[in-house]
Amino acid sequence: MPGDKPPFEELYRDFLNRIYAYVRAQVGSQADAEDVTSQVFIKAWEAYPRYEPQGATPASWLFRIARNAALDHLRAAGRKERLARAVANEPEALEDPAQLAAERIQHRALLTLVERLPERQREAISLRHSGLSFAEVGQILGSSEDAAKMLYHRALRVLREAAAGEAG
Amino acid sequence: MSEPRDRLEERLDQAFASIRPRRGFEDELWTRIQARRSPWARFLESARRVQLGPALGGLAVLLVVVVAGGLLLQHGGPHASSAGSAAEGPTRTAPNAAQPNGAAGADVVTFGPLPPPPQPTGGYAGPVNVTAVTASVAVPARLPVTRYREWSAAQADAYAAGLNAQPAGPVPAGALGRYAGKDFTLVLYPTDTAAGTEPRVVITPAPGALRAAGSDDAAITTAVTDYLSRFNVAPGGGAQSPSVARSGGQVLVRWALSPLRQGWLVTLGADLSILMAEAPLPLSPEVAFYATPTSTKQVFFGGPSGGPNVVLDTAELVYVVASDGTYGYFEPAILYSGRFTQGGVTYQKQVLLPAVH
Repeated sequence: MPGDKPPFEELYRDFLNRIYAYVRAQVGSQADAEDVTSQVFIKAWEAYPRYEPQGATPASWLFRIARNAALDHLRAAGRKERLARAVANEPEALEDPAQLAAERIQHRALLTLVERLPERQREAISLRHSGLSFAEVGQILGSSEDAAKMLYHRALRVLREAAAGEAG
Repeated sequence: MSEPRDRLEERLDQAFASIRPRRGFEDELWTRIQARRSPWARFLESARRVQLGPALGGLAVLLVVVVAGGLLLQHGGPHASSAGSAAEGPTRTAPNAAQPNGAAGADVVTFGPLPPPPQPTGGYAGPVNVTAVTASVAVPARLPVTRYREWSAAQADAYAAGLNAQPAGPVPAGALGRYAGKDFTLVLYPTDTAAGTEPRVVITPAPGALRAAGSDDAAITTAVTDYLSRFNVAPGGGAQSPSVARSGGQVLVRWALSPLRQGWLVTLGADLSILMAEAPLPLSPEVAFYATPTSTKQVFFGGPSGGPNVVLDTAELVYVVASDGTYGYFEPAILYSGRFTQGGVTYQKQVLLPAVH
């Protein structure tokens, strides 16, 4: 609701999982995702007094901070090294071993394909599937809603081809 | 997402929904965020919790006495100068210099110019037109200021090396360094004026590295103290009695250092394993006394700023963390605040002014 500013904790509880998922898809490993997610919410906490709900939805405001933090992180350490580490395999802390089912393995495989996408395509897919509208995706990526939609569909096509290649 | 969706998009939705942080991360991070709140925010909140609001003005003077007394007890007296050399130590104001509030200058020993107190991170950050200041605080003629030398990256490296921990990137923004030991990681931070925290270390043990032997407060406190001792940061030197709070399946152990300083904060999981510990780094503080000005309110009326109008109707004396890069300071400041409404939203404007000069 424009002009309505919820308590920061409400925002934090509502968005933590989505921001973490987005960040994890960008940086690859659980440890890095925790670091970057922490930075995102600490920065957001510090900037919250200056956040104007009229200017951006909470989602686009937070995801913009998350995107910048993830980009900073990737630039700082070099994406290739991290990606190699992630693909080579990061031990996953499983909460329930019984959940280690085929579906979950497929999710991991699909997310690995997302991690290998070119940067902007990866961002479009990650933002969109973190629940943002195309208008919000465009706002964060600095493009129009239509351009965001085109970028997203191009990324989907690349993913589809990559998935077919993996299956073949 | 109103457009028709294909199977791949549905799988992507499910895949992203399946990504969750590990159990406990949400509360750990929230604890860290809470710990970064400025000392005055923490104080104001605790005051609100016990509904002290209207009495705060009167309480402020008492608070100064408590803080000043605590600092003096902690650091050994008004003229203790434990770390400064002759060249850089406190300087005595000329005996005949005229002092405000009618105070004689002979007993005023200072460190020289202090860095300005950082502006509060809570509340409205934009410019305002102050139309009136209706609150004031009575302060003594002199107030103590504590100074300590800032931690350097080399000191952080040496501290970690003493614990057999090696540098392990990436270093979080603003940190001095990040280090990994056999069953822990350390991140060392310098003074953070925005968060209102002195130099500190955040210790993250490996999962299950240490559990309290019992679930009673005494056993938990003992286990946590022993653990902090391994890192040479056990509570001491002015720490208040520990408080043990249980919330959302976690246990929080805290030693406050003074009414406005965070002190030590340790989070344990439901299984009583230590999840994270945050502790002040050892400092070599020295104390000096500064004279207080007769009035600071006139600085608000420097002309219209183009911002909304506000009346500053609350004033409190607080201690804040400031830094000039070489030294960190615990210095007194007066926190003025007032509320205004803009675009249907009510904001709070807070302004900190130095309480000494």
